[in-house]
Amino acid sequence: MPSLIIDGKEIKADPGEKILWVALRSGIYIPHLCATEGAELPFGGCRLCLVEVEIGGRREMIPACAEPVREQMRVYTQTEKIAKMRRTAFELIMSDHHIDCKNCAKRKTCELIRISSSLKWSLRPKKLRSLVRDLPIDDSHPLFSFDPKKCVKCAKCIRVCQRLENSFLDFAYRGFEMVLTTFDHRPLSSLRCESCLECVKVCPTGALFPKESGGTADG
Amino acid sequence: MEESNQIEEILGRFHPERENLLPVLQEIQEKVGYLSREVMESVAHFFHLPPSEVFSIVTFYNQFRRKPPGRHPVHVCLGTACYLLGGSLILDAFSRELQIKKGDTTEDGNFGLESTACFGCCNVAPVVKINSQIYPKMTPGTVEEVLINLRDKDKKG
Repeated sequence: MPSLIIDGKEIKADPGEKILWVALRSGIYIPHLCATEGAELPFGGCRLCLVEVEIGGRREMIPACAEPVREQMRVYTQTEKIAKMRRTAFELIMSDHHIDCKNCAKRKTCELIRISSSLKWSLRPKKLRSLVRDLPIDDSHPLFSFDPKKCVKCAKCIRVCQRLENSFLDFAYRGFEMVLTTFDHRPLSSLRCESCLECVKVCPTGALFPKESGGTADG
Repeated sequence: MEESNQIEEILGRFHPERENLLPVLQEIQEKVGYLSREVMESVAHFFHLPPSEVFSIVTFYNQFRRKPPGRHPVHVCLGTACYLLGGSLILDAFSRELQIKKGDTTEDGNFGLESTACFGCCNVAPVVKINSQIYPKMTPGTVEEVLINLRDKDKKG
């Protein structure tokens, strides 16, 4: 069983485990959005879980969700450099997010709110302009809707739908233009979706949300 | 249909392994000119991939188009020299005049709009290429002129 040192604390971990989950289990909070425990191929897209790891006497910035633990590995989760990088990553995520918590069905479970309050960051970006794209909501499905203006592109819904062997969702286009969508932008109701609502459950924000009349609405 | 035969012929030459996906898409586009919804679906079926994933890949790369190229494909150069001399303004002007976005084709199928990187005539930047003819030193103002001339020619011819 390898043991590693996170912020000076010696912690035991299972071989091959990723830093993020070891830290969270031992009560060290690292913000994260796109990580899924046990994922074979970590997505590493949100950059919120960046930590510094000592490698050959140098410190390197690494996403904690993607880096497996090594014996006597030294990890730092609270440095000034990390705080800066994480803050920028968070601002980037929020800069194209339609902030409308009052009317948001997921406000009680929103991961963005959780991160911002635990790190005492404002939801609204301070250094970056807000550039929310003019994209339509798809509310064709009887049980849930998709609001691309609240999507943080964490790919969690893509992965869960893939795991259930449906794979209705994927990203399209790239860069700032990237959107989560279906094949040829077909409406959600036109898919052979079995309404398992797993995508709604894993969505960390209000992008995929249950309709008030049905499902597991809690907002 | 001739087109579906062409596609079947191309697919017949490849194994349905993931690394062949891009070469297949490239070859189909070369033969047929674009990748229609139906083509993307049959390619997905051939490779046992979800159609959403093929759509994701086709939209990711600039080289793939999902609409027929149009009778007059407009290629706006965004290479370094053209870009510095306002190539993106020329692209915007075409986009405005034709009311289509980059990668699209007008409703009537007359014009397509693409951006490319360098035709090798940077000395007359910013340039536009339409039907293998180079239009040098473009300005947003001459965009309309170029389009009017092409439309006139179409009417006469």
